[in-house]
Amino acid sequence: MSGYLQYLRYGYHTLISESLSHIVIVVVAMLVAFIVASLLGLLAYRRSWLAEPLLSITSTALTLPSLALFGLMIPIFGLGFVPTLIVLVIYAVMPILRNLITGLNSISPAILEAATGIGMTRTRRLFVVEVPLAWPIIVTGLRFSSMMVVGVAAVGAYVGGPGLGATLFNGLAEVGSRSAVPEVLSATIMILLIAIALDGLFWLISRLTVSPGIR
Amino acid sequence: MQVALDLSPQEASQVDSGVKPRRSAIELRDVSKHYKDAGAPIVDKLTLSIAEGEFVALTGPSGCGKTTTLKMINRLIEPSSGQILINGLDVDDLPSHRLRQGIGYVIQNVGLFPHMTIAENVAAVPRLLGWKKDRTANRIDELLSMVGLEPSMYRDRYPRELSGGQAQRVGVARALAADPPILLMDEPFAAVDPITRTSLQDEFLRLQQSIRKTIVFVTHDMAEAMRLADRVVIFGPQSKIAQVGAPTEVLSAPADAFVSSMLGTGRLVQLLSCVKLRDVSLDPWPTISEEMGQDERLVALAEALGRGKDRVLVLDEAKRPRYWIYLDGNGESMRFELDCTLDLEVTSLRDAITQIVYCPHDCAVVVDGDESFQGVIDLKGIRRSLAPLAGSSASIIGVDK
Repeated sequence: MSGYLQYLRYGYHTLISESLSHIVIVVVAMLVAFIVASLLGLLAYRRSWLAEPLLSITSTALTLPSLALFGLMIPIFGLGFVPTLIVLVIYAVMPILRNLITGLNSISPAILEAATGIGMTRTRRLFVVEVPLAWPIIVTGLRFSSMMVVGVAAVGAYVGGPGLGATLFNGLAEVGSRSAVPEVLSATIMILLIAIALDGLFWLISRLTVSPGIR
Repeated sequence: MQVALDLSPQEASQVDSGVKPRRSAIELRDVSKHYKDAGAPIVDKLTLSIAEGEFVALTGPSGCGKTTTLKMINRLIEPSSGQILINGLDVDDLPSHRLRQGIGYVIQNVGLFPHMTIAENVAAVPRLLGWKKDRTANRIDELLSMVGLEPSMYRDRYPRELSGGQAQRVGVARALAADPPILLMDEPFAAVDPITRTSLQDEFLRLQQSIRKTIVFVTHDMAEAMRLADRVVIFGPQSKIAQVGAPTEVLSAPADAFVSSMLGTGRLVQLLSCVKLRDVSLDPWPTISEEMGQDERLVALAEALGRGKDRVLVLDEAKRPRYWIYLDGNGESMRFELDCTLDLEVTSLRDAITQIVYCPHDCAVVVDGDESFQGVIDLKGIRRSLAPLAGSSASIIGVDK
């Protein structure tokens, strides 16, 4: 225990700055992933034959080991922020896109017919009726995706990415030394805290943005 | 082009106030629809003209093309060939969403938007049309009251908080929001329980009395079609029209065996259901004004007795029936409460018979929409008015020809 406090005394600002960069890359990855998933989702909405293949890609892609994907990035993008971000976006897109497509497909045909029947254009129907109705499922996708990305981002340290992965890998590399356990432990706790905070954030977003009529 | 479609009923009636016959609001000319994978067309060269303010029901067995026909009018389904005109204009001349904004649409599963409040649902079309907020708000309250939902109570509720009947009312209010001259209804009352259905139908008929929309109504329920519509289109096998006519015409003279079989054994009862009191001749009855004193009342009673009537109906100053007076054993007039009155416009012969049978008197008092006295009807009167209608079936109920 005293060893842990001692570690915190000289390591806390590394821990804080790594936590901040961890949050930054997760948030950036989520934003990019949301945009990419929305565009792909829209494409699948307009071209319905695309929905099936996209859905199967989204479920199989998640089974790829993240370490392998990071390794593949090195020869293409080198080390650092960019390859980490790319891998995170790839992972983050999958659940978002999956829930986007599923959500839009789950709307009752009667509601769609009513929307068209009263004179909504296809675009208007999408944004006024379909997206709000699919929104709870879409937010669930975002929430799940953010949890996963917080974890995968730690592995990004393997390609020199930012975040708590650095301290984590440091500790793992020096197993046996006095700082090893405190480093691994504190990085893990911080990752957990970030995950919990993000989870809370998405819970709040969902409370505030999902219509009470479908909650 | 939009102008023509936005023509409100008031303006339309001005245009129409001359002596010329009612112009047709909807015209189908040789309209066909066939799907590639199916052999026979689902709708085959249908020609039909629907007058302004007319309530037309399309009915027939499932798969007969009635829903397809309805959906071709607002272009939810595009016809394979033929032409559809609304107020003389080809529906293809407008972008389809503009066309639909000018036509009310009500469907079986209501299709309310669950994430929107009742007010937002009703406001959907006004919002598409870009109405100002306060105009929309006023219209919402007006419509909710019109369909019998207290605005302050229902405005902010969500569809899932409504019963099936209430949701259907909101569906009708939404369709009427922008006051479209035409209303298309696809099995609107099929999803509610039979008791609610009957009361929704009655309410809707009463509403239609005041709004006078051109209505095309799809139903597989022949009795419903007969009950509601001014004219019934019965689709037969091979997508051909088996018969078109007023409910009384169809019921009294089915065109062929197919129509007869569709009408079933309850044909005569249905005939009773769709003949309204306004269609039959009522009998007069001695009346007296409420202000009259005891002496005049006795005189009136004596005169009535002379004509074989044992009682006199007392009317108030607006000619509204108040109560009966009788002559009691001591030669005094005795007051007897009126138990029921029948509405000339909405009460069918069938409902009238029920009332007469349950009434302590052998006849029922008939009033118009302002509750003013029109006459009385009894079973004899009903039999008399049925004689010309019942045709060959008259013998079944013993009507004298």
